Amino acid sequence: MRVGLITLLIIFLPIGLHFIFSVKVSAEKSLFDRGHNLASSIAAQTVDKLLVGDKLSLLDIIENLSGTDEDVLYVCLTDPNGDVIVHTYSVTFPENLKNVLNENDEPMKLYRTFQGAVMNVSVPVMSGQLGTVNVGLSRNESIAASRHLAIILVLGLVSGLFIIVIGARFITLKVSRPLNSLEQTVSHFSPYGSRTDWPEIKGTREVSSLADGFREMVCRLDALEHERKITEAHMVHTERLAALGELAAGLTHEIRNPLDGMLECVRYLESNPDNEAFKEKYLPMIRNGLQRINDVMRHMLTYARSGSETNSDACPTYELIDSLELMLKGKIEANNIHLTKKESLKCICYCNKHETLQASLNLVLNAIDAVKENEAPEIDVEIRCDPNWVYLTVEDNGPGIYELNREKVFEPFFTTKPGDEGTGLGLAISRQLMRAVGGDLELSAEPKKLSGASFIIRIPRVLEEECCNA
Amino acid sequence: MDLKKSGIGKTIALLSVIAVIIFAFFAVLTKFYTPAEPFVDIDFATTAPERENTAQNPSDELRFAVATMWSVESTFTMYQRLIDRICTDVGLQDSFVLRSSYGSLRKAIENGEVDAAFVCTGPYIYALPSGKIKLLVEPLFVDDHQYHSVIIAPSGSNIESIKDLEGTVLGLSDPESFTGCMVPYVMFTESGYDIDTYFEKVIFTGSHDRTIHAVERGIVSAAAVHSVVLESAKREDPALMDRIKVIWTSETFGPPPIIIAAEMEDSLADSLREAFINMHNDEDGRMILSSIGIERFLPADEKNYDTAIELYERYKKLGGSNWP
Repeated sequence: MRVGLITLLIIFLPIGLHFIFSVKVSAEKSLFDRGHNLASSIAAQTVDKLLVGDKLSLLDIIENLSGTDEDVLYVCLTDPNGDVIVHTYSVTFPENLKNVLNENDEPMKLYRTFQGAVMNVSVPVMSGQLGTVNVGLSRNESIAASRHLAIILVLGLVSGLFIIVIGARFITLKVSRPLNSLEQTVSHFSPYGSRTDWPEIKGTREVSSLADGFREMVCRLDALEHERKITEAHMVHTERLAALGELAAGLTHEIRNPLDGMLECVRYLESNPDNEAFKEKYLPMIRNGLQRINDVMRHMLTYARSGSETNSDACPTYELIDSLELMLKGKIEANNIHLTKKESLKCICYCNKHETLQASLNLVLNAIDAVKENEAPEIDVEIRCDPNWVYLTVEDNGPGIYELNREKVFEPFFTTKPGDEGTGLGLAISRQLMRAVGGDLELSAEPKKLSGASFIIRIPRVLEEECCNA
Repeated sequence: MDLKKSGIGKTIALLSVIAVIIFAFFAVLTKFYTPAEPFVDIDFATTAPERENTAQNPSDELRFAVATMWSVESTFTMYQRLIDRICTDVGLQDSFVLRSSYGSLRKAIENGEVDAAFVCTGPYIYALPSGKIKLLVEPLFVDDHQYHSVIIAPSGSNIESIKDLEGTVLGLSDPESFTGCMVPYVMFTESGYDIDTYFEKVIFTGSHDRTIHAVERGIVSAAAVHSVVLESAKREDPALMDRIKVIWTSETFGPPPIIIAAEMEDSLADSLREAFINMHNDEDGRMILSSIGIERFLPADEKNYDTAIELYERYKKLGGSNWP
């Protein structure tokens, strides 16, 4: 508003001043024209009388014509030497005025008296050979008119400024501030913020309506966000169950093998109940087998029920590897896959263990599907670290990812598996889970060793000192 | 609410400051751009010196009058250069004297208000009996124009002679004009026409050029004019004779002379005479003379005015000196 006011002043003050002076100059010119016309008329009529020296006739002429304009104060005729021949003053001609008239040959002279401002207009008679006609006119009225106009202009300008400022203030109160408040509120909008702290924004009807519209939109966004989270959690859980389904075959293998061994041991013990050596040999074997089944079931149940914990924590990488191996052993052996695991350095990562396990499991299951048809299926799982990150790489010697599909593999519902074998959500969810903890899931540009696909999970590393201190 | 009040208060304060600034700005700039005007203390008690009485004759001034054969303004314009030249030649300041009529000029001459004058033949004849004037020189007009009185009428009128003038309006120049009054008066009277009854009206125009204009504009039906003035008007406006015609021409008379006051010193008179007579000998002089239709000046011969004097006597006998 200040800039606007200053701009207004800079523009309108010179214009107003120019206008006032133009009016003043115009009024002076109008007065001069009247005086000049009168003096010219007198000059034309007095030539003969001046030539013959007929003063009485000259006096009659100037007195008659001076009465035709109410602003005429005096008329006088001077000879070429500046001496007054005749004049219309009731007494003698003022000497001071004679001096002013003879100062120069300017056609218009301005001066002031006790009675106000005067304009003297001079017109030579016969190019000055016979003398000069001088007509004195009062400028009081034209000056008063100019002043009156100046006052009106100034009052108008001030009134205009008042109206502009008041209007600007009104707009500020009713529009600008509410809009600014709305803008700040929207800019600080957080999906996790409380809607009860949305400020009440009041302004003009339109601004209030706009604010209400924003509030409704935010509420809808909140609801949509809540639904999205629910849906996302459901999808993650579904994917987890899908993974578990895939593990089911391997689970059967993991339970059946120990059971076969334990049944064989029981048979041996039943046939030789008193053989202490058999007891010492086969009882531990039975225990180990049951323990193994218990571990697998516990892992599976834990994995199936996970999803409710969202907290991340420090997790040694070997725990990930061990859980992976335990859960996948049956499936790998059932498909005669050669699994290589490598842990170049034992390190600790900062993650949600179950979600990271889910993502890793998803990668290995995809690798298993990729190498099933190979004559010598091979999967390589490697964990390595650098000062900031832990990298879990799952590489296979399957057909790899087509160049055209490399950008799409992480898209939801994209799958290369035939029929209804895949949901197409595994990689999308796995990437989302890793990014949620500050990491990522990427498709490596080139496999390092094997000829198929290579996926890398990157998760933040926690240094041992930090972990211990924490 | 308090915030709103303080905001409005600030606004009002700001506007008040702006208003004061605007008023001050206009006041200062108006004052600044108003040029300083002198203050004149009009004191009616102080008397401006009166104009000097020009009737007194400073010794270095030559009061030269010219009869208003043309209008006063035209006479001034036409003869200013001649007077300036003559006065320069004789080494005197010029004082151009004009009067609105032949009679007032004659009186000024008789009263000693004039040192020299270029007069019509009429004022010369009128003033001659007073003994206060002397002939100095006489002009020789260009193209050998002679000095007549002519009566003119509009070219489109049905007036072809003086017989057609009955009941019309006659224009004359001046009651003491020779060609513009005396000659036509004698002619009409001796022709048997009573000038007071023959015409509807007689109008005196004041000068011969105004008489010609009066005929052109139909203000008068006919008029008597100075032949040299008519020739001069024809030179200025060659189409003039398409608008007027001459219906009567008088005999030739002595031309309007340059006269001087009888008491003028002989040396000055001789200087003046010499200045007039020799003026045509240089280019500047010839240009001045040709602008007023004169080829040169000749020494005056009183005999050239005998016919005029004789007509004047007839004029007086016919009652002309008491007319109008």
